[in-house]
Amino acid sequence: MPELFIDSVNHWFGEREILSSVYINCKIGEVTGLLGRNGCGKSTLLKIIFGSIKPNFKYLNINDKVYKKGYQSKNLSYLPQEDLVPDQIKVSIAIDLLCPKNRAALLKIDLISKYLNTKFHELSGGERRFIECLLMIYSDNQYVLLDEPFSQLSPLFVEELKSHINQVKISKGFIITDHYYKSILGISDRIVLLHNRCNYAIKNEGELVLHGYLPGFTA
Amino acid sequence: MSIGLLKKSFLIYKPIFFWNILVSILTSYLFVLKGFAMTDLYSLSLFIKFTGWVSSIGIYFMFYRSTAYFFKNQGMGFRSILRNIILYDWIIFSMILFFIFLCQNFL
Repeated sequence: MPELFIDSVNHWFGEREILSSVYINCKIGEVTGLLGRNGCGKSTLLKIIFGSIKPNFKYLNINDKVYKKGYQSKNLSYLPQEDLVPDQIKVSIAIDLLCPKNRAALLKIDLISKYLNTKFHELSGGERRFIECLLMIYSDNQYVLLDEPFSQLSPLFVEELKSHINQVKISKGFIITDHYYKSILGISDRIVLLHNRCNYAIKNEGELVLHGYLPGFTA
Repeated sequence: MSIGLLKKSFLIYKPIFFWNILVSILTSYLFVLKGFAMTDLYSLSLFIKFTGWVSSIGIYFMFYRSTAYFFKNQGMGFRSILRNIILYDWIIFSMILFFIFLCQNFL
């Protein structure tokens, strides 16, 4: 079965170990939610998978092929926390470059058709983020990494994004991280918590309390 | 090397392409001024071209931070873009030189 997985991730920032023997995987048709406190290494892990950060060690496998950098597979999209598309690019050109096969589906979305000839720097912060999220969700690649897709977005946009992810996930695999944990819990098929440099499979919200991600734990 | 990559690079790196073409025209002009016969002019023109490339790498770095994820999402890394920018510039430079030498007698 087609799958993306990364194993034995070890990463240090100077003297501080951020990730130790971390494993995460994502299958087609599945949304993997990645949770963790600030500074636990969620974004770093996504960047390591994508190939923007070189860790001390990792083993990355995408559809039974080993890669040094995920983006070299040409089958992996990544939405960073910062702006994705350069300011001077028009929405229509970004669609042509990032998701030519799904152009028709994107054009059915009101905000996209409204701003088709608008440059990204002319959009508001929320609109820009929403459109960039859509570009990644509808990208031609099979695997999508979304780093805080819901930040800056109004509740209406968050719900719309979730419905788009649900629509396309039949043919794609997603790894999503965000601090809006309820949205992540609602949309994910599996939850992975990064805590104490390691990954934990989470079965219910109570385990998030137990691992100290949510408040309420009393010993 | 592909036309697709050229188009994508040109979208973002227009200033670098135009800068390199300007430098190529200037360099070719020095060649026309019998650069081959006059060693100092010949050296100067090559030095200008080399400086032009160094500057374009500098401009590229300025743009790279804000465009890295955009290109990587299309499967293109830093090296492939830079390699292509220089390769295409070399081709354009050779064409300008060839054209100028071809038409030298008419200039």
